[in-house]
Amino acid sequence: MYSRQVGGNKLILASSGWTYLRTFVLYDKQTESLWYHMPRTHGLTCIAGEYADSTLREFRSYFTRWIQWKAMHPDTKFMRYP
Amino acid sequence: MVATRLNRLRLPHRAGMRRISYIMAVVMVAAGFGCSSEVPDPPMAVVVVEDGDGDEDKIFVVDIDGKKWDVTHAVNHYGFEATKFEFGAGADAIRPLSNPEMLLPGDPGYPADNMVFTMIGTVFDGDVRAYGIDDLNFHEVVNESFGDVHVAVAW
Repeated sequence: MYSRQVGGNKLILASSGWTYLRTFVLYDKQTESLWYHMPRTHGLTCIAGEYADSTLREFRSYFTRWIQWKAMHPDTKFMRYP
Repeated sequence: MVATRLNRLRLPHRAGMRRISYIMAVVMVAAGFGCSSEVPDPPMAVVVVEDGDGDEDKIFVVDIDGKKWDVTHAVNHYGFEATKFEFGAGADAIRPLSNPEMLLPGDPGYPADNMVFTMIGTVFDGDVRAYGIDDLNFHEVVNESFGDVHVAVAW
């Protein structure tokens, strides 16, 4: 999970349709800058575009199975698939 | 005027005009014989180099919609290889989700406790949210907000 705020700007991130080394290359809809999780780093780095060299910090997220997560967090919300 | 070297191929230069050099490098690798679960390698990206005529050359990768993505900085500053950008399915191929509805325990459709599907879980300021991997695979990015803090859950 990444911040999507640069300075005071709130970005909308999406897949660019590209991957690189099988990792998704994201872009922001505001400037079409490209954002990529560089190996051995935390967060997203802007590799091209208006925000070049800026970073978006990473927040902790957990990859797990529902049964374990629910046991740890009984009140957890769950995204309803649209 | 600067002649542009591309993959050891010296292409002719037309004086006085911006020249677009086109490299088509499409390699399709078929799935392994008898291994239906193997994912074929993606084709190499279509790369376009625009001669800067004294300014720096611009390097683009072209996606399936014909859209040119400027990767000059990624190549020059971060060492990306333009041909190694993969798929180029286009910006609309995978639509992100924005501030999706979250189900609470007891809501219709809320998963039973003993389901074992994989998911991404987040905790922010006491707000606990979970996103199913199957759902994330479809959209890749969920643009979310926890109050004033705006985040993207990406898989």
